[in-house]
Amino acid sequence: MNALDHTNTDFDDPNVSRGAIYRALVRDAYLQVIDNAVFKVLLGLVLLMVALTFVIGFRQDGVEVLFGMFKYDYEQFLGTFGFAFGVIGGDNTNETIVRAIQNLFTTVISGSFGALFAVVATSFFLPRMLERGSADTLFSKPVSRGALVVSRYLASLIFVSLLTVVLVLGMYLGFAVSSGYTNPEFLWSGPMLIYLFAILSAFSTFWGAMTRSSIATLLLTVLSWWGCVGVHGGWLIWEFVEHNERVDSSIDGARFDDPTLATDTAASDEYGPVVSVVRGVVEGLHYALPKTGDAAQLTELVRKTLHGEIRTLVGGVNMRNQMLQVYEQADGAYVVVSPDGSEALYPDARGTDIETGGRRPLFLRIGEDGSLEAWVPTSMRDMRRGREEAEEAEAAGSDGEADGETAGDETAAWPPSWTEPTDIVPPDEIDFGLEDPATFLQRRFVWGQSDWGFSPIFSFLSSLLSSAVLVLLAIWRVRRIDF
Amino acid sequence: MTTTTTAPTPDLVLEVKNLRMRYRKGLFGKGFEALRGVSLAVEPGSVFGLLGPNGAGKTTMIKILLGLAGGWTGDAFLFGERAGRASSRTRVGYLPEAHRLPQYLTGRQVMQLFGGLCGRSPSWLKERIPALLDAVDMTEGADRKVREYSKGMQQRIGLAQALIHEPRLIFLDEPTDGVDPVGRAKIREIIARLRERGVTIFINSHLLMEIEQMCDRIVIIDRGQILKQGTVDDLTPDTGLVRFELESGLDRAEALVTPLVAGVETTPDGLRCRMRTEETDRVIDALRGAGISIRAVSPERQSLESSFIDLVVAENRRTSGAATQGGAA
Repeated sequence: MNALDHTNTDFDDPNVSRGAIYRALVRDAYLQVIDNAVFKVLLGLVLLMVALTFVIGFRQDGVEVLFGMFKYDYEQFLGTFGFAFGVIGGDNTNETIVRAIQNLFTTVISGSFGALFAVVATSFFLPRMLERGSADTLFSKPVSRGALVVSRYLASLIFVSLLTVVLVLGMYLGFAVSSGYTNPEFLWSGPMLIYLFAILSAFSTFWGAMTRSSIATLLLTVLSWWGCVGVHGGWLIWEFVEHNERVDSSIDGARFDDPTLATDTAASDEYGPVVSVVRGVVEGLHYALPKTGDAAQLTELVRKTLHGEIRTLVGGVNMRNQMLQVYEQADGAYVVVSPDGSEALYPDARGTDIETGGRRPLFLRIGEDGSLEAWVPTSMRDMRRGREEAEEAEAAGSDGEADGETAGDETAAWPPSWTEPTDIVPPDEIDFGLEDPATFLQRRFVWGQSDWGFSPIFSFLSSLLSSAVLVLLAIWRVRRIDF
Repeated sequence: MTTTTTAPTPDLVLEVKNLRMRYRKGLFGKGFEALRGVSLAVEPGSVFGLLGPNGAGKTTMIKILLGLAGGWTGDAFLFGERAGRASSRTRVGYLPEAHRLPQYLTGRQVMQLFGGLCGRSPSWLKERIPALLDAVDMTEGADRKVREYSKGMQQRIGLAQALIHEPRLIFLDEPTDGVDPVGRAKIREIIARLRERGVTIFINSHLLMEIEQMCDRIVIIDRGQILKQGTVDDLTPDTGLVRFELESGLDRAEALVTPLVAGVETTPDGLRCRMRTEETDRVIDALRGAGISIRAVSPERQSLESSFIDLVVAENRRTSGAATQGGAA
């Protein structure tokens, strides 16, 4: 064929294949990534990490290097790196170490430094495409500017996705081979990293379109990231402080038997106008901005949910000035946590064999020996009788005369003097003592029960929506640029 | 805001009517008018040259036609479709001035990318790319990264990407810029072959000699207005001078011819005479009769360069004169 001859006889009705256009855009994005110097360096580091997981195995009784050629006990191995041995031990030593390493390399290192490097490496993708000479050539083709902008966004995601897949899958397989330990839930770290970077890349795309400068894009993307972390951190601390004030007020009200102290007045009502405005702005930004800080929490939540480790705070029970936290596990069992951190598990309280088909209540009391006793009724009849017993006990002024079997015994007869309804404290009013904001968030960040501010579903969807809006704004801007 | 007031003329490849474009400067800046009512029509299969000094509005017009610039008024059509639409660019190829191809791709990958963006399938491109690389002499360097290319190689790959999808109209903005003489000759050859195959070519160049060699029609544009348009012959009028190149008798020739025609002058290789066409035979007879051997006889035309300079200078004078009069008034 002569190159200058026309083989296409259908020029008057050109049949452009959209599929060919999208294939070309995706392939171009991929080629741009694999040619990138930072990508090559990061890939080298990731492969090194993966290789180490294959050659260093953490076994129950010690560390094996090169598939057993060298063996060290944990004390000896950790001592080499200057760590004192003592914490690690027991039946799950290798599991503990492998999980710690996995968390270090995915959540801590990749989620912070890795994402920062990826932002640095990809922030020039769009600005460079928008430079004169480059944009003229590309935009003169019969392809929309929106598709070209999305292709650069896609290139950024390919950048991180390739590294993430190699890192997460590689480490998973490496530890499976060398340490004999597999934890499929670890694989959720991959989507988490890609989700986090999808948000950052949306900022990068937005600023790239607005400024058309690589340096400005990089700086503004990093500032936006930190801004989001700052807004959500600030919002969380504000919520945390307000919550504690509310709990203190509630406790004071109960302690001094003075309902005026247990006011329902929101702390925000007492702010001056300036602080109220600042509070409103922080609140608004929290809901509007992508929530980069929630990525790790989301992954943990998904992981725990899928592997049945999730527990939901049902409420608290004040018993003899002790606040007991009552959680419900994914399998329906109750877990009661004492102030000293000790936990007690009670059987599945979700039954379909009873008339209502709903959740059966957990009855609690402090036994004569001071230990916690619990009882879950096996039928509606049991439940009614339990409540009658409790009411009788209350009427008799008694709270400690046991007359039945304790928790865990499904054949229990009559539980005496069980928790009075007034002793039940809703989750919002439980005093968690020295709890920090991160734990405060972690405890409230649960499916279905949280309000909007803490809802993982809202966090996920609103972050995706905000990111989509940023990309759409970038497309809007690029469509209006004259080259 | 763009406006379309009239319907396109059938069978024209490119049509522009009363095209105006003002670049704004800042929020309240007045800016400047890059195009001031330009109208032109290009028929299929012609090589069309656009000439003008820097800032004349040449590139602006191409960018409007390709949808790269907005905010214009008037009518602009490509293949009867309103300019700016993605579909109107399906049959158009473009080699921008100072283009920058993706540096992370090889020459072959550049062809695959731009062919794909034009909707051509990988299998179709697989056949076409080697032939096209060969046509622009880039087979050897096709698998090297573009960032390793010389300016000339980048220009040749740039031309190839403009041709990859078999366009019916090609805009070439300074196509021989940075290309060595051999490369330029190659590009001229490619343009000639494309014209033979009925492709319409729109060239924007400062190299007037090349425009003169390659183009069927030329438009001279300055300050956003068309000064003159027509064929090369229209723009390079006969000067009334005829040049005689002589093999011998240089010393006798002037004396022989002077009585026959006016304005004879001796040149290093013969004579130049101001004369009417019918007087040519008499001069040839006189020279041949005196045994003087004639190598060539050619009427002298005004060069495109001098024609272009005359037009632009005259326009400058007219504009500055009008400004002075306006100021005096």
